[in-house]
Amino acid sequence: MVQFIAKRCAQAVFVVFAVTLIVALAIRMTGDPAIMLAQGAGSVTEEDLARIREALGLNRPFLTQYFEFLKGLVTGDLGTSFDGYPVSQLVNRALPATLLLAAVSLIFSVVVSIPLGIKAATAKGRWPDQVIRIFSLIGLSFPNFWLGTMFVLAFAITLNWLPASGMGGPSTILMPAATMGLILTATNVRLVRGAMLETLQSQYIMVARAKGLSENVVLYKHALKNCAITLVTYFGLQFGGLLGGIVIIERVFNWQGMGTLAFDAVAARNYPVLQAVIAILSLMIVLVNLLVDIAYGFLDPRIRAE
Amino acid sequence: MADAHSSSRTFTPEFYVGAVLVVGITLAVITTSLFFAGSATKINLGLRLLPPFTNWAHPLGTDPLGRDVLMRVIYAGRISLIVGFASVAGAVVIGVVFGLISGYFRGITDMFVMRFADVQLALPFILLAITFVAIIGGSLRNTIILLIVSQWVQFARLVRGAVLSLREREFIQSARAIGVSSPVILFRHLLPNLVGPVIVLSTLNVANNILLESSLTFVGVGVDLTIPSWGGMLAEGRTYLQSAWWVSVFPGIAILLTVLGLNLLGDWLRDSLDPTGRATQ
Repeated sequence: MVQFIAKRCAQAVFVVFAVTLIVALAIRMTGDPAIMLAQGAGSVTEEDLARIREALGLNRPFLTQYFEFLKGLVTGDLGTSFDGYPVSQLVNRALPATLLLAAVSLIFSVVVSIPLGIKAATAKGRWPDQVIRIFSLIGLSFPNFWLGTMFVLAFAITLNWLPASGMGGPSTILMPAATMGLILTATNVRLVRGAMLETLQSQYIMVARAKGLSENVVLYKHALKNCAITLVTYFGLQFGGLLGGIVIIERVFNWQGMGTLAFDAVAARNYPVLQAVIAILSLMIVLVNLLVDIAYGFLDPRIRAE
Repeated sequence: MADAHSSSRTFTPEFYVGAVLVVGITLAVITTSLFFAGSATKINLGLRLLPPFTNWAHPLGTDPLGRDVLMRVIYAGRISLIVGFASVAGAVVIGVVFGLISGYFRGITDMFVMRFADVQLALPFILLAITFVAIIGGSLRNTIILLIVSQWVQFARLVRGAVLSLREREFIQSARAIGVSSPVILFRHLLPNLVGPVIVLSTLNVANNILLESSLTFVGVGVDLTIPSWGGMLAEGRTYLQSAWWVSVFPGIAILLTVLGLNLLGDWLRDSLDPTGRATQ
Protein backbone atom coordinates (compact mmCIF):
# COMPACT_ATOMS: atom_id res chain seq x y z
CA MET A 1 0.00 0.00 0.00
CA VAL A 2 2.78 2.43 0.94
CA GLN A 3 4.51 1.64 -2.33
CA PHE A 4 1.29 2.21 -4.23
CA ILE A 5 0.70 5.60 -2.61
CA ALA A 6 4.31 6.61 -3.15
CA LYS A 7 4.07 5.71 -6.82
CA ARG A 8 0.86 7.64 -7.34
CA CYS A 9 2.24 10.66 -5.47
CA ALA A 10 5.40 10.62 -7.59
CA GLN A 11 3.22 10.55 -10.69
CA ALA A 12 1.15 13.45 -9.41
CA VAL A 13 4.24 15.52 -8.63
CA PHE A 14 5.55 14.85 -12.14
CA VAL A 15 2.24 15.94 -13.65
CA VAL A 16 2.19 19.13 -11.59
CA PHE A 17 5.70 20.00 -12.79
CA ALA A 18 4.82 19.20 -16.38
CA VAL A 19 1.58 21.18 -16.38
CA THR A 20 3.01 24.27 -14.70
CA LEU A 21 6.06 24.13 -16.95
CA ILE A 22 3.90 23.88 -20.07
CA VAL A 23 1.82 26.84 -18.95
CA ALA A 24 4.85 28.93 -17.97
CA LEU A 25 6.67 28.13 -21.22
CA ALA A 26 3.60 28.70 -23.36
CA ILE A 27 2.99 32.08 -21.85
CA ARG A 28 6.54 33.17 -22.67
CA MET A 29 6.63 31.42 -26.03
CA THR A 30 5.87 34.31 -28.34
CA GLY A 31 8.66 36.43 -27.01
CA ASP A 32 8.36 39.43 -24.78
CA PRO A 33 5.13 39.85 -22.79
CA ALA A 34 6.26 43.40 -22.06
CA ILE A 35 5.91 44.34 -25.75
CA MET A 36 2.50 42.67 -25.94
CA LEU A 37 1.44 44.48 -22.84
CA ALA A 38 2.63 47.79 -24.15
CA GLN A 39 0.77 47.32 -27.42
CA GLY A 40 -1.97 49.85 -27.82
CA ALA A 41 -0.44 52.12 -25.21
CA GLY A 42 0.73 54.53 -27.89
CA SER A 43 4.40 55.38 -28.05
CA VAL A 44 6.48 53.11 -25.89
CA THR A 45 10.08 53.79 -25.10
CA GLU A 46 12.73 51.21 -24.35
CA GLU A 47 12.69 52.53 -20.78
CA ASP A 48 8.99 51.75 -20.44
CA LEU A 49 9.63 48.20 -21.59
CA ALA A 50 12.51 47.83 -19.17
CA ARG A 51 10.30 49.08 -16.36
CA ILE A 52 7.57 46.60 -17.24
CA ARG A 53 10.09 43.75 -17.38
CA GLU A 54 11.53 44.81 -14.06
CA ALA A 55 8.10 45.00 -12.47
CA LEU A 56 7.13 41.57 -13.79
CA GLY A 57 10.44 40.01 -13.02
CA LEU A 58 10.81 39.16 -16.71
CA ASN A 59 14.43 40.25 -16.74
CA ARG A 60 15.43 37.29 -14.59
CA PRO A 61 16.28 33.87 -16.06
CA PHE A 62 13.30 31.68 -16.98
CA LEU A 63 14.04 28.98 -14.43
CA THR A 64 14.25 31.54 -11.62
CA GLN A 65 10.86 32.89 -12.67
CA TYR A 66 9.45 29.40 -12.90
CA PHE A 67 10.58 28.36 -9.45
CA GLU A 68 9.46 31.68 -8.07
CA PHE A 69 6.02 30.88 -9.47
CA LEU A 70 6.05 27.36 -8.01
CA LYS A 71 7.04 28.79 -4.64
CA GLY A 72 4.17 31.24 -4.98
CA LEU A 73 1.74 28.38 -5.58
CA VAL A 74 2.79 26.80 -2.31
CA THR A 75 3.00 29.96 -0.20
CA GLY A 76 -0.06 31.59 -1.73
CA ASP A 77 1.80 34.66 -2.96
CA LEU A 78 1.02 34.64 -6.67
CA GLY A 79 2.48 38.00 -7.58
CA THR A 80 0.75 41.04 -9.00
CA SER A 81 -1.52 41.24 -12.01
CA PHE A 82 -0.67 43.61 -14.83
CA ASP A 83 -3.33 46.01 -13.65
CA GLY A 84 -1.92 46.10 -10.17
CA TYR A 85 -3.98 43.69 -8.06
CA PRO A 86 -2.46 40.87 -6.03
CA VAL A 87 -3.28 37.72 -8.02
CA SER A 88 -3.98 35.75 -4.85
CA GLN A 89 -6.71 38.24 -3.98
CA LEU A 90 -8.38 37.78 -7.39
CA VAL A 91 -8.14 34.01 -7.04
CA ASN A 92 -9.49 34.10 -3.49
CA ARG A 93 -12.58 35.82 -4.79
CA ALA A 94 -13.08 33.68 -7.90
CA LEU A 95 -12.20 30.20 -6.67
CA PRO A 96 -15.01 29.83 -4.08
CA ALA A 97 -17.55 30.90 -6.73
CA THR A 98 -16.33 28.22 -9.13
CA LEU A 99 -16.18 25.55 -6.42
CA LEU A 100 -19.67 26.43 -5.21
CA LEU A 101 -21.04 26.08 -8.73
CA ALA A 102 -19.14 22.80 -9.20
CA ALA A 103 -20.43 21.39 -5.90
CA VAL A 104 -24.06 22.33 -6.52
CA SER A 105 -23.94 20.97 -10.08
CA LEU A 106 -22.39 17.72 -8.90
CA ILE A 107 -24.92 17.28 -6.07
CA PHE A 108 -27.77 18.04 -8.48
CA SER A 109 -26.44 15.48 -10.92
CA VAL A 110 -25.87 12.76 -8.29
CA VAL A 111 -29.34 13.24 -6.82
CA VAL A 112 -30.96 12.99 -10.26
CA SER A 113 -28.82 10.33 -11.87
CA ILE A 114 -28.81 7.71 -9.09
CA PRO A 115 -32.57 7.03 -9.09
CA LEU A 116 -32.73 7.29 -12.88
CA GLY A 117 -29.74 4.98 -13.35
CA ILE A 118 -31.19 2.44 -10.92
CA LYS A 119 -34.53 2.60 -12.69
CA ALA A 120 -32.84 2.04 -16.04
CA ALA A 121 -30.85 -0.90 -14.69
CA THR A 122 -33.83 -2.65 -13.12
CA ALA A 123 -35.95 -2.10 -16.24
CA LYS A 124 -33.13 -3.12 -18.58
CA GLY A 125 -34.39 -3.29 -22.17
CA ARG A 126 -37.92 -2.22 -21.32
CA TRP A 127 -39.42 1.20 -21.97
CA PRO A 128 -38.16 3.14 -18.89
CA ASP A 129 -34.63 2.06 -19.80
CA GLN A 130 -35.10 3.10 -23.42
CA VAL A 131 -36.56 6.50 -22.50
CA ILE A 132 -33.75 7.21 -20.04
CA ARG A 133 -31.21 6.08 -22.63
CA ILE A 134 -32.61 8.41 -25.29
CA PHE A 135 -32.65 11.38 -22.92
CA SER A 136 -29.11 10.62 -21.81
CA LEU A 137 -27.95 10.50 -25.44
CA ILE A 138 -29.64 13.83 -26.17
CA GLY A 139 -28.02 15.29 -23.05
CA LEU A 140 -24.60 14.08 -24.19
CA SER A 141 -25.17 15.89 -27.49
CA PHE A 142 -26.21 19.22 -25.98
CA PRO A 143 -23.74 22.10 -26.16
CA ASN A 144 -23.66 23.17 -22.48
CA PHE A 145 -23.46 26.88 -23.28
CA TRP A 146 -26.49 26.63 -25.57
CA LEU A 147 -28.52 24.80 -22.93
CA GLY A 148 -27.67 27.68 -20.59
CA THR A 149 -28.72 30.22 -23.22
CA MET A 150 -32.03 28.42 -23.71
CA PHE A 151 -32.63 28.45 -19.94
CA VAL A 152 -32.06 32.21 -19.97
CA LEU A 153 -34.48 32.56 -22.87
CA ALA A 154 -37.14 30.45 -21.14
CA PHE A 155 -36.88 31.33 -17.45
CA ALA A 156 -35.41 34.82 -17.45
CA ILE A 157 -36.69 36.45 -20.64
CA THR A 158 -39.98 34.71 -21.42
CA LEU A 159 -41.24 33.73 -17.96
CA ASN A 160 -39.26 36.30 -16.01
CA TRP A 161 -38.83 33.96 -13.04
CA LEU A 162 -35.09 34.13 -12.56
CA PRO A 163 -32.34 36.68 -13.09
CA ALA A 164 -30.65 36.19 -16.48
CA SER A 165 -27.11 36.46 -15.16
CA GLY A 166 -24.90 37.71 -12.39
CA MET A 167 -23.99 36.35 -9.00
CA GLY A 168 -25.95 37.02 -5.85
CA GLY A 169 -28.63 35.23 -3.83
CA PRO A 170 -29.62 31.60 -4.27
CA SER A 171 -31.79 32.37 -7.32
CA THR A 172 -28.74 33.21 -9.40
CA ILE A 173 -27.11 29.81 -9.00
CA LEU A 174 -30.18 27.84 -10.10
CA MET A 175 -29.75 28.15 -13.86
CA PRO A 176 -25.96 27.71 -14.10
CA ALA A 177 -26.05 24.74 -11.71
CA ALA A 178 -29.01 23.15 -13.49
CA THR A 179 -27.25 23.57 -16.84
CA MET A 180 -24.04 21.92 -15.69
CA GLY A 181 -25.93 19.39 -13.56
CA LEU A 182 -28.08 18.22 -16.46
CA ILE A 183 -25.08 17.86 -18.77
CA LEU A 184 -23.30 15.80 -16.09
CA THR A 185 -26.42 13.74 -15.48
CA ALA A 186 -26.43 12.56 -19.08
CA THR A 187 -23.08 10.85 -18.46
CA ASN A 188 -23.74 9.82 -14.88
CA VAL A 189 -27.00 8.01 -15.61
CA ARG A 190 -25.08 5.70 -17.93
CA LEU A 191 -22.39 5.11 -15.31
CA VAL A 192 -24.91 4.37 -12.55
CA ARG A 193 -26.84 2.04 -14.85
CA GLY A 194 -23.67 0.14 -15.79
CA ALA A 195 -22.44 -0.17 -12.21
CA MET A 196 -25.89 -1.25 -11.00
CA LEU A 197 -26.30 -3.88 -13.70
CA GLU A 198 -23.03 -5.45 -12.63
CA THR A 199 -23.90 -5.39 -8.93
CA LEU A 200 -27.42 -6.73 -9.39
CA GLN A 201 -25.96 -9.94 -10.80
CA SER A 202 -24.09 -10.75 -7.61
CA GLN A 203 -25.22 -13.55 -5.38
CA TYR A 204 -25.70 -11.47 -2.27
CA ILE A 205 -28.41 -9.51 -4.09
CA MET A 206 -30.15 -12.79 -4.84
CA VAL A 207 -29.85 -13.72 -1.17
CA ALA A 208 -31.27 -10.35 -0.09
CA ARG A 209 -34.20 -10.82 -2.42
CA ALA A 210 -34.71 -14.41 -1.30
CA LYS A 211 -34.85 -13.22 2.31
CA GLY A 212 -37.90 -11.23 1.23
CA LEU A 213 -36.42 -7.76 1.68
CA SER A 214 -38.37 -5.07 -0.10
CA GLU A 215 -37.06 -4.12 -3.51
CA ASN A 216 -36.19 -0.58 -2.37
CA VAL A 217 -34.08 -1.89 0.49
CA VAL A 218 -32.30 -4.28 -1.87
CA LEU A 219 -31.61 -1.56 -4.44
CA TYR A 220 -30.85 1.48 -2.33
CA LYS A 221 -29.30 -0.15 0.71
CA HIS A 222 -27.53 -3.26 -0.48
CA ALA A 223 -26.80 -2.72 -4.15
CA LEU A 224 -26.12 1.01 -4.08
CA LYS A 225 -23.74 0.71 -1.15
CA ASN A 226 -21.66 -1.73 -3.10
CA CYS A 227 -21.60 0.37 -6.27
CA ALA A 228 -20.64 3.42 -4.27
CA ILE A 229 -16.91 2.80 -4.64
CA THR A 230 -17.14 2.60 -8.42
CA LEU A 231 -19.42 5.61 -8.61
CA VAL A 232 -17.26 7.81 -6.39
CA THR A 233 -14.31 6.97 -8.62
CA TYR A 234 -16.24 7.90 -11.74
CA PHE A 235 -17.50 11.13 -10.25
CA GLY A 236 -13.99 11.98 -9.05
CA LEU A 237 -12.47 11.41 -12.46
CA GLN A 238 -15.08 13.76 -13.93
CA PHE A 239 -13.71 16.65 -11.92
CA GLY A 240 -11.51 17.87 -14.78
CA GLY A 241 -14.35 17.81 -17.27
CA LEU A 242 -16.64 19.46 -14.73
CA LEU A 243 -14.25 22.38 -14.26
CA GLY A 244 -13.77 22.68 -18.02
CA GLY A 245 -17.53 22.87 -18.49
CA ILE A 246 -18.00 25.37 -15.70
CA VAL A 247 -15.40 27.68 -17.20
CA ILE A 248 -17.67 27.97 -20.26
CA ILE A 249 -20.93 28.15 -18.31
CA GLU A 250 -19.57 30.99 -16.19
CA ARG A 251 -19.29 33.01 -19.37
CA VAL A 252 -22.96 32.45 -20.23
CA PHE A 253 -24.23 33.53 -16.83
CA ASN A 254 -21.57 36.12 -16.07
CA TRP A 255 -20.62 34.08 -13.00
CA GLN A 256 -17.55 35.67 -11.40
CA GLY A 257 -15.44 32.54 -11.06
CA MET A 258 -12.13 31.21 -12.36
CA GLY A 259 -13.42 30.92 -15.94
CA THR A 260 -14.46 34.55 -16.13
CA LEU A 261 -11.14 35.49 -14.53
CA ALA A 262 -9.28 33.45 -17.15
CA PHE A 263 -11.17 34.87 -20.14
CA ASP A 264 -10.75 38.42 -18.87
CA ALA A 265 -7.04 37.69 -18.42
CA VAL A 266 -6.84 36.42 -22.01
CA ALA A 267 -8.57 39.53 -23.33
CA ALA A 268 -6.26 41.83 -21.38
CA ARG A 269 -3.19 39.64 -21.92
CA ASN A 270 -2.89 39.57 -18.17
CA TYR A 271 -0.43 36.68 -18.04
CA PRO A 272 0.25 36.45 -14.29
CA VAL A 273 -3.48 35.95 -13.68
CA LEU A 274 -3.89 33.45 -16.51
CA GLN A 275 -0.88 31.46 -15.38
CA ALA A 276 -2.17 31.31 -11.81
CA VAL A 277 -5.72 30.33 -12.83
CA ILE A 278 -4.62 27.50 -15.11
CA ALA A 279 -2.03 26.23 -12.63
CA ILE A 280 -4.45 26.24 -9.70
CA LEU A 281 -7.26 24.50 -11.60
CA SER A 282 -4.86 21.84 -12.91
CA LEU A 283 -3.40 21.39 -9.47
CA MET A 284 -6.84 20.77 -8.03
CA ILE A 285 -7.63 18.24 -10.72
CA VAL A 286 -4.37 16.37 -10.08
CA LEU A 287 -5.11 16.37 -6.36
CA VAL A 288 -8.66 15.07 -6.76
CA ASN A 289 -7.51 12.35 -9.15
CA LEU A 290 -4.75 11.37 -6.72
CA LEU A 291 -7.15 11.18 -3.78
CA VAL A 292 -9.63 9.12 -5.79
CA ASP A 293 -6.83 6.76 -6.83
CA ILE A 294 -5.58 6.31 -3.29
CA ALA A 295 -9.08 5.90 -1.87
CA TYR A 296 -9.81 3.32 -4.51
CA GLY A 297 -6.57 1.51 -3.70
CA PHE A 298 -7.60 1.34 -0.05
CA LEU A 299 -11.06 0.04 -0.84
CA ASP A 300 -10.16 -2.39 -3.58
CA PRO A 301 -6.89 -4.30 -3.08
CA ARG A 302 -6.91 -5.52 -6.69
CA ILE A 303 -6.03 -2.01 -7.93
CA ARG A 304 -2.87 -1.89 -5.84
CA ALA A 305 -1.50 -4.99 -7.49
CA GLU A 306 -1.81 -3.49 -10.96
CA MET B 1 -12.68 -9.30 -31.71
CA ALA B 2 -13.17 -11.22 -34.94
CA ASP B 3 -16.12 -13.16 -33.53
CA ALA B 4 -17.84 -9.98 -32.36
CA HIS B 5 -17.85 -8.82 -35.96
CA SER B 6 -20.11 -11.49 -37.28
CA SER B 7 -22.39 -12.13 -34.32
CA SER B 8 -24.23 -8.93 -33.51
CA ARG B 9 -24.14 -6.59 -36.46
CA THR B 10 -27.69 -5.48 -37.09
CA PHE B 11 -29.21 -2.24 -38.25
CA THR B 12 -31.09 -0.77 -35.31
CA PRO B 13 -33.29 2.37 -35.20
CA GLU B 14 -30.37 4.30 -33.73
CA PHE B 15 -28.35 3.45 -36.82
CA TYR B 16 -31.05 4.74 -39.17
CA VAL B 17 -31.69 7.96 -37.23
CA GLY B 18 -27.96 8.60 -36.81
CA ALA B 19 -27.17 7.88 -40.46
CA VAL B 20 -30.02 10.06 -41.77
CA LEU B 21 -28.92 12.96 -39.55
CA VAL B 22 -25.22 12.73 -40.35
CA VAL B 23 -25.59 12.06 -44.09
CA GLY B 24 -28.39 14.60 -44.49
CA ILE B 25 -26.54 17.38 -42.67
CA THR B 26 -23.26 16.64 -44.46
CA LEU B 27 -24.92 16.73 -47.89
CA ALA B 28 -26.80 19.94 -47.08
CA VAL B 29 -23.61 21.60 -45.84
CA ILE B 30 -21.57 20.53 -48.89
CA THR B 31 -24.26 21.60 -51.38
CA THR B 32 -24.70 24.99 -49.72
CA SER B 33 -20.96 25.61 -49.48
CA LEU B 34 -20.50 24.78 -53.16
CA PHE B 35 -23.48 26.50 -54.74
CA PHE B 36 -25.24 28.87 -52.33
CA ALA B 37 -22.43 30.42 -50.25
CA GLY B 38 -23.52 33.85 -51.55
CA SER B 39 -27.00 33.72 -50.08
CA ALA B 40 -25.63 32.68 -46.68
CA THR B 41 -23.44 35.76 -46.38
CA LYS B 42 -25.52 38.35 -48.28
CA ILE B 43 -26.27 41.35 -46.09
CA ASN B 44 -29.66 43.00 -46.50
CA LEU B 45 -30.13 45.75 -43.94
CA GLY B 46 -33.68 46.38 -45.19
CA LEU B 47 -34.70 42.98 -43.82
CA ARG B 48 -33.02 43.05 -40.39
CA LEU B 49 -34.23 40.65 -37.67
CA LEU B 50 -37.14 39.25 -39.63
CA PRO B 51 -38.96 36.67 -37.39
CA PRO B 52 -39.08 33.07 -38.59
CA PHE B 53 -42.08 31.48 -40.34
CA THR B 54 -43.33 34.84 -41.61
CA ASN B 55 -41.61 35.20 -44.97
CA TRP B 56 -41.14 32.23 -47.28
CA ALA B 57 -37.99 33.69 -48.77
CA HIS B 58 -36.48 33.50 -45.25
CA PRO B 59 -38.23 30.60 -43.50
CA LEU B 60 -36.11 30.84 -40.32
CA GLY B 61 -35.96 34.64 -40.35
CA THR B 62 -32.96 36.92 -40.70
CA ASP B 63 -30.16 38.03 -38.36
CA PRO B 64 -29.17 41.55 -37.22
CA LEU B 65 -27.54 42.20 -40.61
CA GLY B 66 -30.50 40.87 -42.58
CA ARG B 67 -28.73 37.63 -43.53
CA ASP B 68 -30.89 34.55 -44.03
CA VAL B 69 -30.68 32.40 -40.86
CA LEU B 70 -31.48 29.07 -42.56
CA MET B 71 -28.82 29.43 -45.25
CA ARG B 72 -26.32 30.75 -42.76
CA VAL B 73 -26.90 27.88 -40.32
CA ILE B 74 -26.36 25.30 -43.06
CA TYR B 75 -23.34 27.11 -44.46
CA ALA B 76 -21.79 27.49 -40.98
CA GLY B 77 -21.88 23.71 -40.55
CA ARG B 78 -18.82 23.68 -42.79
CA ILE B 79 -16.61 24.83 -39.92
CA SER B 80 -17.95 22.25 -37.46
CA LEU B 81 -17.56 19.38 -39.92
CA ILE B 82 -14.06 20.47 -40.97
CA VAL B 83 -12.89 20.84 -37.37
CA GLY B 84 -14.56 17.61 -36.24
CA PHE B 85 -13.20 15.38 -38.98
CA ALA B 86 -9.78 17.01 -39.51
CA SER B 87 -8.92 17.01 -35.81
CA VAL B 88 -9.89 13.37 -35.35
CA ALA B 89 -8.04 12.32 -38.53
CA GLY B 90 -4.88 13.96 -37.21
CA ALA B 91 -5.29 12.49 -33.73
CA VAL B 92 -5.91 8.99 -35.15
CA VAL B 93 -2.77 9.01 -37.32
CA ILE B 94 -0.48 10.20 -34.53
CA GLY B 95 -2.22 8.21 -31.80
CA VAL B 96 -2.27 4.91 -33.68
CA VAL B 97 1.42 5.09 -34.62
CA PHE B 98 2.49 5.94 -31.08
CA GLY B 99 0.07 3.43 -29.59
CA LEU B 100 1.40 0.61 -31.78
CA ILE B 101 5.02 1.39 -30.99
CA SER B 102 4.35 1.97 -27.32
CA GLY B 103 2.34 -1.24 -26.84
CA TYR B 104 4.59 -3.46 -28.94
CA PHE B 105 8.07 -2.27 -27.98
CA ARG B 106 7.25 -0.73 -24.58
CA GLY B 107 10.41 1.08 -23.43
CA ILE B 108 10.93 4.80 -23.69
CA THR B 109 8.04 5.49 -26.09
CA ASP B 110 5.68 3.73 -23.75
CA MET B 111 6.85 5.78 -20.82
CA PHE B 112 6.47 8.97 -22.85
CA VAL B 113 2.94 8.09 -23.95
CA MET B 114 1.76 7.14 -20.49
CA ARG B 115 3.22 10.22 -18.81
CA PHE B 116 1.73 12.41 -21.53
CA ALA B 117 -1.59 10.74 -20.82
CA ASP B 118 -1.28 11.70 -17.14
CA VAL B 119 -0.63 15.31 -18.06
CA GLN B 120 -3.47 15.36 -20.53
CA LEU B 121 -5.87 14.06 -17.88
CA ALA B 122 -4.90 16.88 -15.55
CA LEU B 123 -5.18 19.67 -18.11
CA PRO B 124 -8.69 19.88 -19.53
CA PHE B 125 -8.85 20.87 -23.17
CA ILE B 126 -10.68 24.12 -22.49
CA LEU B 127 -7.92 25.34 -20.17
CA LEU B 128 -5.23 24.31 -22.63
CA ALA B 129 -7.08 26.13 -25.39
CA ILE B 130 -7.45 29.32 -23.35
CA THR B 131 -3.73 29.35 -22.59
CA PHE B 132 -2.63 28.83 -26.17
CA VAL B 133 -5.17 31.15 -27.73
CA ALA B 134 -3.94 33.89 -25.42
CA ILE B 135 -0.57 33.46 -27.07
CA ILE B 136 -0.97 32.30 -30.64
CA GLY B 137 -4.46 33.64 -31.25
CA GLY B 138 -7.63 31.79 -32.17
CA SER B 139 -8.16 30.50 -35.70
CA LEU B 140 -9.57 27.53 -37.53
CA ARG B 141 -6.11 26.02 -37.96
CA ASN B 142 -5.07 26.59 -34.35
CA THR B 143 -8.30 25.06 -33.05
CA ILE B 144 -7.67 21.91 -35.10
CA ILE B 145 -4.04 21.71 -33.96
CA LEU B 146 -5.03 22.12 -30.32
CA LEU B 147 -7.62 19.37 -30.59
CA ILE B 148 -5.07 17.03 -32.17
CA VAL B 149 -2.45 17.82 -29.52
CA SER B 150 -4.88 17.17 -26.70
CA GLN B 151 -6.52 14.04 -28.13
CA TRP B 152 -3.97 11.90 -29.92
CA VAL B 153 -3.07 10.36 -26.60
CA GLN B 154 -6.59 8.93 -26.21
CA PHE B 155 -6.05 6.92 -29.37
CA ALA B 156 -2.53 6.02 -28.31
CA ARG B 157 -3.83 4.64 -25.01
CA LEU B 158 -6.62 2.69 -26.69
CA VAL B 159 -4.27 1.13 -29.25
CA ARG B 160 -1.57 0.50 -26.66
CA GLY B 161 -3.98 -1.38 -24.44
CA ALA B 162 -5.22 -3.54 -27.30
CA VAL B 163 -1.68 -4.25 -28.54
CA LEU B 164 -0.54 -5.27 -25.06
CA SER B 165 -3.01 -8.13 -25.06
CA LEU B 166 -2.77 -8.96 -28.77
CA ARG B 167 1.01 -9.32 -28.76
CA GLU B 168 0.72 -12.36 -26.51
CA ARG B 169 -1.71 -14.10 -28.87
CA GLU B 170 -0.62 -17.03 -31.02
CA PHE B 171 -0.87 -15.35 -34.40
CA ILE B 172 1.52 -12.60 -33.36
CA GLN B 173 3.83 -14.98 -31.50
CA SER B 174 4.06 -17.24 -34.54
CA ALA B 175 4.57 -14.33 -36.93
CA ARG B 176 7.47 -13.28 -34.76
CA ALA B 177 8.79 -16.83 -34.52
CA ILE B 178 8.99 -17.23 -38.29
CA GLY B 179 10.91 -13.98 -38.52
CA VAL B 180 8.34 -11.49 -39.79
CA SER B 181 9.77 -8.00 -39.42
CA SER B 182 8.36 -5.69 -36.76
CA PRO B 183 6.87 -3.06 -39.11
CA VAL B 184 5.00 -5.83 -40.95
CA ILE B 185 3.68 -7.25 -37.68
CA LEU B 186 2.59 -3.80 -36.53
CA PHE B 187 0.85 -2.65 -39.68
CA ARG B 188 -0.25 -5.88 -41.37
CA HIS B 189 -1.10 -8.08 -38.40
CA LEU B 190 -1.90 -5.82 -35.45
CA LEU B 191 -3.45 -2.80 -37.14
CA PRO B 192 -6.38 -4.60 -38.83
CA ASN B 193 -7.44 -5.92 -35.41
CA LEU B 194 -7.67 -2.40 -34.03
CA VAL B 195 -9.87 -0.88 -36.71
CA GLY B 196 -13.14 -1.50 -34.82
CA PRO B 197 -12.34 0.23 -31.52
CA VAL B 198 -10.51 3.07 -33.29
CA ILE B 199 -13.54 3.78 -35.50
CA VAL B 200 -15.84 3.80 -32.48
CA LEU B 201 -13.66 6.23 -30.55
CA SER B 202 -13.22 8.36 -33.69
CA THR B 203 -16.96 8.74 -34.23
CA LEU B 204 -17.56 9.73 -30.62
CA ASN B 205 -14.61 12.14 -30.74
CA VAL B 206 -15.86 13.87 -33.90
CA ALA B 207 -19.08 14.52 -31.98
CA ASN B 208 -17.20 15.72 -28.92
CA ASN B 209 -14.85 17.95 -30.92
CA ILE B 210 -17.76 19.65 -32.66
CA LEU B 211 -19.09 20.50 -29.18
CA LEU B 212 -15.68 21.71 -28.01
CA GLU B 213 -15.07 23.86 -31.08
CA SER B 214 -18.47 25.54 -30.77
CA SER B 215 -17.85 26.21 -27.05
CA LEU B 216 -14.47 27.76 -27.76
CA THR B 217 -15.78 29.88 -30.61
CA PHE B 218 -18.72 30.94 -28.44
CA VAL B 219 -16.45 32.29 -25.71
CA GLY B 220 -14.18 33.92 -28.27
CA VAL B 221 -11.11 31.67 -28.15
CA GLY B 222 -11.91 29.44 -31.14
CA VAL B 223 -12.61 30.14 -34.79
CA ASP B 224 -12.55 33.75 -36.00
CA LEU B 225 -15.97 35.37 -35.51
CA THR B 226 -15.96 36.82 -39.04
CA ILE B 227 -16.26 33.28 -40.45
CA PRO B 228 -19.82 31.88 -40.15
CA SER B 229 -19.78 29.07 -37.57
CA TRP B 230 -22.38 27.73 -35.16
CA GLY B 231 -20.52 28.84 -32.05
CA GLY B 232 -19.92 32.24 -33.63
CA MET B 233 -23.59 32.68 -34.59
CA LEU B 234 -24.61 31.83 -31.02
CA ALA B 235 -22.12 34.36 -29.68
CA GLU B 236 -23.60 37.05 -31.97
CA GLY B 237 -27.12 36.02 -31.04
CA ARG B 238 -26.56 36.59 -27.33
CA THR B 239 -26.84 40.34 -27.73
CA TYR B 240 -30.23 39.93 -29.36
CA LEU B 241 -31.64 37.25 -27.05
CA GLN B 242 -34.30 39.63 -25.71
CA SER B 243 -35.60 40.75 -29.09
CA ALA B 244 -34.70 37.99 -31.56
CA TRP B 245 -34.69 34.51 -30.04
CA TRP B 246 -34.40 32.75 -33.39
CA VAL B 247 -30.83 33.95 -33.95
CA SER B 248 -29.81 31.98 -30.84
CA VAL B 249 -32.08 28.98 -31.26
CA PHE B 250 -31.45 27.56 -34.73
CA PRO B 251 -27.62 27.29 -34.69
CA GLY B 252 -27.95 25.43 -31.38
CA ILE B 253 -30.44 22.98 -32.86
CA ALA B 254 -28.00 22.41 -35.72
CA ILE B 255 -25.19 21.53 -33.29
CA LEU B 256 -27.51 19.29 -31.27
CA LEU B 257 -28.74 17.33 -34.31
CA THR B 258 -25.25 16.89 -35.78
CA VAL B 259 -23.71 15.73 -32.52
CA LEU B 260 -26.71 13.53 -31.73
CA GLY B 261 -26.43 11.85 -35.13
CA LEU B 262 -22.74 11.13 -34.57
CA ASN B 263 -23.35 9.87 -31.02
CA LEU B 264 -26.11 7.55 -32.26
CA LEU B 265 -23.79 6.14 -34.93
CA GLY B 266 -20.96 5.86 -32.40
CA ASP B 267 -23.16 3.97 -29.94
CA TRP B 268 -24.41 1.68 -32.66
CA LEU B 269 -20.88 1.01 -33.88
CA ARG B 270 -19.69 0.26 -30.37
CA ASP B 271 -22.50 -2.18 -29.75
CA SER B 272 -21.88 -3.98 -33.00
CA LEU B 273 -18.06 -3.88 -33.22
CA ASP B 274 -16.98 -3.81 -29.62
CA PRO B 275 -19.58 -5.36 -27.31
CA THR B 276 -17.27 -5.11 -24.30
CA GLY B 277 -17.34 -1.32 -24.51
CA ARG B 278 -13.58 -1.13 -24.30
CA ALA B 279 -13.31 1.75 -26.77
CA THR B 280 -15.04 4.20 -24.50
CA GLN B 281 -13.05 3.53 -21.36
